[in-house]
This record gives sequence, C-alpha cells and structure tokens, in this order.
Amino acid sequence: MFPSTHWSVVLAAGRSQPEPEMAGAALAELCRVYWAPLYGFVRSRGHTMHDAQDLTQSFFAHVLEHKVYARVDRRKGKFRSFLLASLKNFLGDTADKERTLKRGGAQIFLPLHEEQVQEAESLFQTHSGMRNEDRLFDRSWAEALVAAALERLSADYKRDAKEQLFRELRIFIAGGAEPPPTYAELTDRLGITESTLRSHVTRLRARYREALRTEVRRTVDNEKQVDRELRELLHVLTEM
Amino acid sequence: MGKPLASAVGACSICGKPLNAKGDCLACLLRTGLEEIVADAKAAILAFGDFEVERRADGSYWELGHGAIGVTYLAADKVLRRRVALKVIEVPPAARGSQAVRDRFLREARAAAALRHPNVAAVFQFGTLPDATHCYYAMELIEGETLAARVRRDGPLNAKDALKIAIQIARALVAAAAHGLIHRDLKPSNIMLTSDLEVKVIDFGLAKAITDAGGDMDLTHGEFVGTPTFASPEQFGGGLVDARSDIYALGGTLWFAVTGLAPHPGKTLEEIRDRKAHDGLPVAQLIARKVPEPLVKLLRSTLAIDPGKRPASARELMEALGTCRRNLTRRVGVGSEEAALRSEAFSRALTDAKACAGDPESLQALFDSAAKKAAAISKKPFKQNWAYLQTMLRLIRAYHRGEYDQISDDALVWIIAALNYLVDPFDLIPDNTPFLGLVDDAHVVELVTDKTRRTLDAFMTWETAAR
Repeated sequence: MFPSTHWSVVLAAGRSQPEPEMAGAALAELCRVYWAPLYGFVRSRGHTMHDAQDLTQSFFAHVLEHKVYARVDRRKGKFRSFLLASLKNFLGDTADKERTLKRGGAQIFLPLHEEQVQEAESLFQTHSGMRNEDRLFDRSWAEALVAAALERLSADYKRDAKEQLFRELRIFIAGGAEPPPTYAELTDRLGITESTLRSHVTRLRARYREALRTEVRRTVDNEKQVDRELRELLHVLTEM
Repeated sequence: MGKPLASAVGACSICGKPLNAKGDCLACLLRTGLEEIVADAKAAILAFGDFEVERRADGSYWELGHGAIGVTYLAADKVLRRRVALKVIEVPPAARGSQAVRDRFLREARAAAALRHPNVAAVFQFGTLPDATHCYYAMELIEGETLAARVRRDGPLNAKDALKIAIQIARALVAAAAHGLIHRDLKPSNIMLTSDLEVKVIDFGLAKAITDAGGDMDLTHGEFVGTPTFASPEQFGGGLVDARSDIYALGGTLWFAVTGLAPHPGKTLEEIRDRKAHDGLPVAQLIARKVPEPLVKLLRSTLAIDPGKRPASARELMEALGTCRRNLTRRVGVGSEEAALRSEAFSRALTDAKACAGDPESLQALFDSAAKKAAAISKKPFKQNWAYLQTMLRLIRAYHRGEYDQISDDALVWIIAALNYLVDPFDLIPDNTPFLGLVDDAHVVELVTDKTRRTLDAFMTWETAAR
C-alpha cells in the first residue's frame, strides 16, 4: 500500500481527476516537510523574511490551485526537481508574484509553527554564504530530508520509552566532532552487556537507514530513484 | 527573527566532513542510507596475515582513511599484540600472476621498511594474500590527524607553522634519499600531525611499489596512481620521475597548508595536467593570505614546471626552508634594507632613551613623539596587539600624571624605545600577547616591562647576528 503522502500518489492523482483532495493533502504534507529549502531559495533571491514567507506560501497555493503537478513528466518526476523548477518559474513570473503578494500572501494553507519559520531562517543564514542558489537549495533539502528521518526515528524510540538509548547511540549514525565512545564507556553508562550494545547499534543503523529511505521514497517516483537521489545529494555535499 | 546558527561547528570525527549547525554530519547521515545492512555484525573477520581489522561499536570495519590506491584500517597485530595502521591495496588483475611484479613490490616494500626516521611512519611488515588479490603493509599507528584534516578543520596555517611542518617533511625526504627512495604520492593527506605539530610522513616508498605492481601506468590511460592534484607535471607525462617530483609535491603541500587550496585544482586528470602545464601559479592566493615574500619565492621555485629549476635535492630544499623560517622568526617580511634601517633606529632608540631617562623634559618630548607615532598606526592589522599599544599609552599618561611609582626607569626606557623608534612596535610582540587592558596596573607594568625587554632583547640578538 502506498503511503498517502507519497509523491507518486500526487503524480497519479494529478492525472486522475477523481482524487484531487488526496493529491492536495499529500502535496501539502510533503510541502510542510520541505518548506525550509524553498523558503531559503526565495531568501537567496534577495527577498525579505516577510516577503519570502508570503512568497513561499503563495507558491504552494499556486501549485495546488493551478495543478502544476499534473503537468509533470513522470519520467523526470523527482519531487525535488519539480519543486525547484516550479519555484523558479513562479518567482520569474512577476505579475503572478505581485498579484499574490498584493492579496497579502493569500491563503496560509500550510499550518506553519513560528519555530518552523525560525528554523528555516536559521538554515538560510547558515548557508547564505553559498554562491550557487541551486546548491544552497540541494544542501537545505538534504538537511530537511535527514531531519525528517531522524525525527521519525526519535519518535519511534520515544514511543518505546528508549529515548536515552537513542540519545547515547545517535552519534553512530549522525557522527559528530568527538569520536564515538568506546564499547566500555557505553556499556558502563547504559548498564548493558557488550553484545546487547552491539545489537542495539546495529539495529539503530538499520532502522535509521529504513527511515531515511522511506523519506526519500516519498519524494521520488520509484525504488530505483532512492539510491540515485541519495548519491546525488551526497555528491552535492562532498563537492563543497 | 530567526537566530543565526553557527555556520560551522567543526569536522566529523568519522569522515572529516564539516558538521551542520546541529553538530550532525550530513554526509554520514546520507551515506548510512546507502549502506548494506550486515545481518550478523560478528560475521566475516577481515584478516591479512597476522593482522585483524578492528570494528567500530556498530560492527563496521574501522577505516582510518581511504585513498586512490587503497583503504587504511585500524588493525590488531595478533602476534605482537599491538595496534597498527594497516593499508590494504587491491592488486590490479593484470598484475596478479606476474612473479616479476611481485618481486618488484617486495623489493620496494623492503626498502620502505628499512627506512627509519622520526618523521616517517615506520613500516613494520608487509605481504600479499595467497591469492595475490591484495597486498598490505602495517604501519606505525600515529595518534593525530592528517594535515588535510587539520586545514579543513581549522583553516590555513600561519607561515611559521607551515614551515615547521615542511621542514620536517624535507628531513624525511633527505633520509629517504639516502635509501634511494622517493615517495611519489606526497600530499596533505599523507602527512600525519601530532598535537604539537610533529610530522610523520606515511606511505613512504610504497606508492611506487604499488604503482610498479600495476605495471606500466600512465595518466593518459586513466590509471594514474596517487593524487594528481599534488603530483609533479612530469608524473603526468611519463617523464623521468625522481626526487624532484617529491620536491614539487612538497611545494604543493606547503601551498595548501598556507592557503587551504591546491595551486592547480581540477575535476579531471586532463584538466589538472593542462593547468599545471599552462596556467601560472595563482600567486594572488598567497598574497591574499599575506604569505611573506621569502616563502612566496620559495614556493615559486619548488613548484617550477621544469624540474631543473626546482631545488636540486631534498637537502637543498631543507636548507632553503630553514633559511626562510629563520627570516620569518626574526621579522616576518622584513627586507634586508629595512632590517638595516631598523637596526640603526633601534640602537639610536636605546641610546637616546637611556640618556634621557633621568631627564623629565627630554622624556616628555619623547613620550609626545611616541604617542603621536603610535596613534598614527593603523589598528586593523594589529587587532590582537592593540591592547598592548593601549597599555603603553596608558603608562605614558600615568607618567604625565606623575605616577612614577608604577613605572620603573627600565620600563620607561623599553617602552620609549619600542614606541618611538621602531617603525612598528607590534612587530616585536608575539602573536599570542595576552590582553593586558583588564589586569591591574602593577601587573600591567610588570608584564609590559618584561615582555618589552625580552622582545627587544631578541631583536638586539638578531640584529647583532645579522651584522
């Protein structure tokens, strides 16, 4: 069964009129996750914070209103590419932009928290030194992608009342400035045996891997594209 | 308004890539999504001869680094019970059955293993797997990081530290020359640094052994072994490769250390080769980093396209680096004419200051002049030492207020000499001069007197030696 927020669902629904609500809901959820990269891209074009928020929101309204997704070529249909190309078109269309701005940023149809807006602005500030706006977008996209996967994983561990375990072992997937602790340190701290610890770490990596791939899967059209998308994003990071 | 996050919080201890603002490594996080899951982490012990590759807590093999010619693991020597850095290289299929190739590898490896020098990571043992698919060698495990990682984390080094490193590399090259060895893959990631900038060059001589093991390889066939960015132009063209290639590579490494950049970067071998052959050195990078002229000159000669225009031997290079460093230690960027003028001015300063130390009127005239000169000095280049200057001026004002008890005659002499006669008193003050404006006056006087005396003493010593 396809998850309801899968990009392929949006693509399919775009071509079959009976399911517009499903497409809209799926797209809105995807857009919530990837709001920050789009906002950052708009900011990189020189818009103020306020205008960038309005424009980002208006862009989503525009995509839904005009069913832009229905015109996507499925063979080239990566969500990331689709959003970036559509956003560029949208920002290039002065009349449309002014119209949407005049109506006050139009509908705020994405329920955004202040915290989410602040994080998006912080992310933009962090990468604002990058010259290439496409690269800035890709980098921010990668950030949003892994953040969503980590959030999902963290919630799973919390649900199982294993928050401390997740906090202690997180370094084995997320790296960090300090080297990972030794087995001895961790077994002491967690009060478990070495073999149990080993299996916890292995399981965490496997679960994270699946969470990340699930997240990527939501933004591409088929399974083959998952590896390609991850490699592409990794390439963007390593060439910086 | 969003709070700007710190743009960089260091480098990942696992892969060396910059961390994001949350302190996570995006590269590691993405890479995990691509890795195969090992069903049983305890399975498949990876062993090469007496060496068993260690695992991280998550069960993955403990990689210390990977490069163009192989992977380096943390491994345990099961016989001698010590940890080593184990480099494992896959032998190209075409070379696996050749006895001649095997003999060449063993000959080179033996020569590398015979090289013992404080600046070379010792090679303990080497061998090949029975099926000839891999060769390996165990090296001394160095606690530290590579020069590449250091620069990536902290940014370019200052000229003094970079020269300290380059001199040690040159020493290693001199020792290697005595064994008839050349490195052929000298680069920042083959330079290990301990915490106090002691150098250990790794993979010495083995690069050549591995290259030979693969048969006749050249760049144009896409089988270039090593790192083209730091390789000499003759390594691209199949020309004679000798010790001067290592000298060129050391020049590139030193360039990287002071700028954080390679002199001729490129995305393909051809692009790098063409740039080396046709583009001049991007000296503007050095100027932007305020690299002192003597070092710029030395870099130009080590990175000459024509090997004949480079220092002829590692020893010659080591001596040139030493001379350059001594000049920098005396005074960064001072030309001989300026040095002579300074020397003369300094002698006059001491004579005058001592002569008028007991004469308030003469002293006051000197103070006025000193204050005027100090005020004219631009603050920008001397941010860190600005506090020092302010302290000196405070002392002058204290003198004017008649607070003689705070200032000894000796201190006055040194302060006047520094302020009034040297073109720029900051040149004599070490970079790490503490901020003096916040401590109490008595302490300030003590520090200023002591520091000024010591720095001017050093200047005098140098000046005497220079004559």
